[in-house]
Amino acid sequence: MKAWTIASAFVWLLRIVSLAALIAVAYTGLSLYQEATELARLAKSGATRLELTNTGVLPLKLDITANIKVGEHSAVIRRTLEIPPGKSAAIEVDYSEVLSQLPVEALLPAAVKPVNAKLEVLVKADLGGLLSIEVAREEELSVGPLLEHVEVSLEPVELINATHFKYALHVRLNAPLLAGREAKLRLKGGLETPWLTLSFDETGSADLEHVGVARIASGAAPVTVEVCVDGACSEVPLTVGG
Amino acid sequence: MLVRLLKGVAKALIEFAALYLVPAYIVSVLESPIGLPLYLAPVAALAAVFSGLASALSKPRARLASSASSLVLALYVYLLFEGGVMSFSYQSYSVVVNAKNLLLLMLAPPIASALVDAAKWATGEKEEKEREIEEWE
Repeated sequence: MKAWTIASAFVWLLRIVSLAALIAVAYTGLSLYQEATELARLAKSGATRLELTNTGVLPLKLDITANIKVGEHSAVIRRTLEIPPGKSAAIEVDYSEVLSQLPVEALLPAAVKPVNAKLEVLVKADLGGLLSIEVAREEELSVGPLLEHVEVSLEPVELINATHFKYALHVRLNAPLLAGREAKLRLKGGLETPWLTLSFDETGSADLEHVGVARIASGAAPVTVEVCVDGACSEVPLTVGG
Repeated sequence: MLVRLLKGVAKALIEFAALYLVPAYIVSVLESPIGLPLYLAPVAALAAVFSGLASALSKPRARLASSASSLVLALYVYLLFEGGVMSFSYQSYSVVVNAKNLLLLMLAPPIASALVDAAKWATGEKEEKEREIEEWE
């Protein structure tokens, strides 16, 4: 008789424990769903630092993996966060940080013009070991141009003859992801100059002051600046006079 | 006898509502990406019928019906959780929910209850048979 009482009490204890676990998972899951919906909205609007608060009653472990594929190259960054109940943690996933993990060869085609890339984001959330949720999303995006700032100004110094004149050229380029690489540029169209080479420093900046002789091409074609990084070229308009 | 029968029918109806009708209504109201599969309806109905029988019958048969009800309830929980791994698409996200640990915790009470009821039924039957043998001797 006593054994049956103990067995019945054990069954009731199991019922209470499983019901408590179910309520805890449901409550934590729902509160995190509301938080995640808000964070997804912020991420879509361009925020790179997101603060997540665990308003549930179970500890949350987050594992975020972002994988970017450009051509045959890919790079992965991972973030792991453990957030106890009632605590907050910041998630920082910067798109340019993912790109910086790519080998330079993969980025070069995107140096001066955008290329297609594929971004895969996988978020794994574990609620106290009772429940885990994996959310994956894959999207096509455009990477580049990595040349964030191109400033080229030309100042005529001295007219040499009817077809040539002396000029002072100032070039400033900025491309943090191309730090340590070289770029070539020349004037095209109404004015023609030889190729000039400039190097990006460790911060991705490149400056060039150059005095040379340009040839005035026949016709009234607009003057453009052709910038090339490792064979990939793009043209930008020229500012004349400083 | 009639009171017991009515009590059993009422319990079966309430249990079917709790296991299938109410969750199906909640899922439809919330427009949840995880629907309640139709094949759960007969399983829920079977669990409810056994539960009703457990109230309507007298012991030890009630124990057997209660044990069967708990086992079917365990099957219902297992099917509801799709074996512990549920995958679906929500907006443009693909979602996989792994609830194996939670499922084990949810299965433990009905299985333990089924075992205890089955053991009570078996020992009760044995005692009854021993009594019958003693009376015959």
